[in-house]
Amino acid sequence: MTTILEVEQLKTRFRTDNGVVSVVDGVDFSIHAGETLGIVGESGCGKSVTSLSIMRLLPPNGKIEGEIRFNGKNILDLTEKEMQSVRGNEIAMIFQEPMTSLNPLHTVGRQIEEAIILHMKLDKAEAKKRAISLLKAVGMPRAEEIYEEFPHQLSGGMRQRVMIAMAMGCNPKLIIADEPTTALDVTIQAQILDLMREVKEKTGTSIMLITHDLGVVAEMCDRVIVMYAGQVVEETDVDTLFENPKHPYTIGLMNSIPELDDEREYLDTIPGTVPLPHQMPKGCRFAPRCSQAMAICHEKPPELLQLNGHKCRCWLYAEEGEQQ
Amino acid sequence: MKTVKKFLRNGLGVIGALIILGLIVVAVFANQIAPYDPNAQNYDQVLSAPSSEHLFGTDDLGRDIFSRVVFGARISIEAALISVGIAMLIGVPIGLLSGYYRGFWDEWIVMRSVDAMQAFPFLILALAISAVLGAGFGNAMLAIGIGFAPAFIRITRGQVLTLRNMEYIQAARSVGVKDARILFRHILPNALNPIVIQATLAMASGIIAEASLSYLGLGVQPPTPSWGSMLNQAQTLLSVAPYATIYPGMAIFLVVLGFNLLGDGLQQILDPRVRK
Amino acid sequence: MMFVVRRLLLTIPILLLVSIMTFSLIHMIPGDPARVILGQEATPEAYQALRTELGLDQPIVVQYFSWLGKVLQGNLGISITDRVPVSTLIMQRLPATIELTIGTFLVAILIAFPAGILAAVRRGTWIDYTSTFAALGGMSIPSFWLAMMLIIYFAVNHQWLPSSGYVPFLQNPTQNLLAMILPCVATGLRESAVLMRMLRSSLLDVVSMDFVRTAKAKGLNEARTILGHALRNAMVPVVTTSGLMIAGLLGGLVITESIFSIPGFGRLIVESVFKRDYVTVQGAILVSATLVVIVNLAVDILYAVIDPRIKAGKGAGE
Repeated sequence: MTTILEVEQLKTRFRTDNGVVSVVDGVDFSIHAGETLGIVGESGCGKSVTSLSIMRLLPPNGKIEGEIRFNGKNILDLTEKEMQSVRGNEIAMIFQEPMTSLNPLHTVGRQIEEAIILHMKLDKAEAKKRAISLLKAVGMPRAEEIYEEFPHQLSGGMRQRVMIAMAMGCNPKLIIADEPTTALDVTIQAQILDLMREVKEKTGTSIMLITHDLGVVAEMCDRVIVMYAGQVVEETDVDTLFENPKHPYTIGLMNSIPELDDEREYLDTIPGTVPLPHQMPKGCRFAPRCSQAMAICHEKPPELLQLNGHKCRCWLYAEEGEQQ
Repeated sequence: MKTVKKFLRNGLGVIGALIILGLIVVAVFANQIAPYDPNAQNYDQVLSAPSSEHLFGTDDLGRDIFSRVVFGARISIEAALISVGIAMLIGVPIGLLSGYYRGFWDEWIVMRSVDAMQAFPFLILALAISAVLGAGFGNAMLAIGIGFAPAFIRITRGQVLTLRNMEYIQAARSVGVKDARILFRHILPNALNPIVIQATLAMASGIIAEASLSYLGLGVQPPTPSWGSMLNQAQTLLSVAPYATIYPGMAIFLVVLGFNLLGDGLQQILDPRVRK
Repeated sequence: MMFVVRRLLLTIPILLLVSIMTFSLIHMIPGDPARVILGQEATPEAYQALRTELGLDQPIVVQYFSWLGKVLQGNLGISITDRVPVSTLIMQRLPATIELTIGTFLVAILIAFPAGILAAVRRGTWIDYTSTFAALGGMSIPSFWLAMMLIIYFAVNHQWLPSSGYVPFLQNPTQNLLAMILPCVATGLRESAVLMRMLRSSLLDVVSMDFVRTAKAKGLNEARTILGHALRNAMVPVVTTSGLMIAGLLGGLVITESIFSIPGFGRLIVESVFKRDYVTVQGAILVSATLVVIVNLAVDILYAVIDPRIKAGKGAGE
């Protein structure tokens, strides 16, 4: 299996009125060709900033450190112009809000064609042909008509299909999907997930799927990274994660999913909230909310331990980690 | 206190406030600052260029331009205060009542009248009103004040519309607080910020409008020194005495800039919709 | 279509109120209008003739409706001093003012667009600060003083451009254009400042929107993102401002035309004011307010062209 994306010691900081805050703090992961990697965590854990760092689309007060190797090349070394030929061409992105992520004043067709004309150097007629076939591929009825329509004439689910068609435009090697179904109705969510799986099977593209929803992870992903407060706390394949979750945070997330035959009267929740980037605890960042926290957890930050292909950042597994 | 600190950090706003403070000082101490009587004519010194004796030179009647500019500050500050005062006296109560009681009067009489008033080019309206009432400072103020009133009606009404639906207003009404008390004790104080911003910016326009009317000969009448009428008199002297034009105009520019800077600064602090 | 029809219907009450206000103006003259117009030494015959001509003998409501009836037929009355129909006077004066308006807008757009876009894109840099401060300065310069300064520099000191000498365009295009440069710059500079500030803040709102990020994620460079995606969305409030600017501009031209001796519409008003020709003043301000209403109507309809959502009746701000 070839690795198409390797992220090494990614650190993303922002200059703010309260000084410099570090939102992503030393994240490592990689994505193989044809693989779907899930990145899970609550809002504020740094998942979206990680994806925007890969696209180099941070606001001007953001600064990226570390290495992001795409096809073996560190994209942090690319000039802005070289980066533009990567965006939308080799790495495409699908955003959370289909309602606001499309330009309200341009037709659907024009928005899909834009990247195709730019990167694939097709002429207008060929680009139109491709845009219509993409609209058909994402399951849009009346593709020719919708090509001429404006986003406000479409429903949320349809707009997200347009976003997917847009992302597929230049056959990217990697699609980053940032909470692609969060803003949609439950029934539409399933359709969009099915569509994304179909796209992946047909084109062999890799997907980096960012979500807070473990249900989506179970359905879509091959491997999973759990992020907490700007760090990776657990990484493993999807089956292991659900059979044998290790980090107390992951276990907490799983216990807060309602189940069909649930007999519990209340769902278990994780008490407290994610710490603010400029008020990080001294030891383990999860310790203040952890039911199993020990003395050492409040003192010293744990390392990301290697446990038989299962990575976990927790003092509970320190001994197990040493033995291996 | 926090607002004051925030304002001090807004450099341009502070510069604006300082300019206006300077204007007030000059206006109050005009007698002490001006070296000559602004209306004293001196036929030996007609149209002399700026010198140590006459800082800004003299005009065609031999009057000291610097002294006239200094005394012009009085007219200018009066123009700003009176015209905007009149506009607020008309606009704020109408806006309050109209927005609070809504209904036919608000929708079809007040707001459509505001639309109609704002269709008249401001200076043309002021020109027409002061033409009808007769030339003179007081009438010019009335004309400008009437011209500004619609903007105050609009902004006050807009504030009342949002505030009247707030929970604490609803709560006050539900326990039987009288309308007048709600309007003046609860709504007006909370609607004040945008009105103050609008007033500051309107003062800038008021000074320009007064100068414009005086320049056209409809505002302040000679020999009272006003920057606008000084420009009117200097107009025929453009080629022989450019300094007679430069200094009064510079004074208008500086003071208007002061009010604009202050208004802009206040907007950045007081108006949550404007980002830093 | 529904949007356009509704908008058209809304202008009717406004125009009606405009006519009432204009009509009332002549009745705001303290005392007897005919006496004020003619002065104390007028003969009783002349006085009575003017009262009859102005319809002052009739009840005020009758006066209004007979005046309105004539106005609707294009009859704005006869100038008291020139004894020519007011509509003829206005038609003679409009071309120069229209030319001046177009020139002013050209100057304003040529300065405001590059400056506004640059300031928004390079937000927080010296380019931004310089142009924002310059715009505040530009808004604070009285345009008649700027006009005089331009005359001193370009016409008196250097004789590069004429300070007067307007001729109709068709009579002598070169001379006409040369005479128009300074007036257009004098009024256009101030308007450009207003427009630039508006464009900058509107663009800043738009560039932080999701769809702009989408455009960047497609690999568009900054210029194409701004010009192709952000600018058009930022235009909606800017177009409104330009519509509202027309009213201020027509007022400002009163003074510009006086300074540069351009026989335009604004100068007609000033001249009529000093000649106490109230019938002409009345006709001219009615025409100016109607022009403003029409321009604003056109601007609102232009929205529908810019923003497809308005046609669907959803409104510009979603």
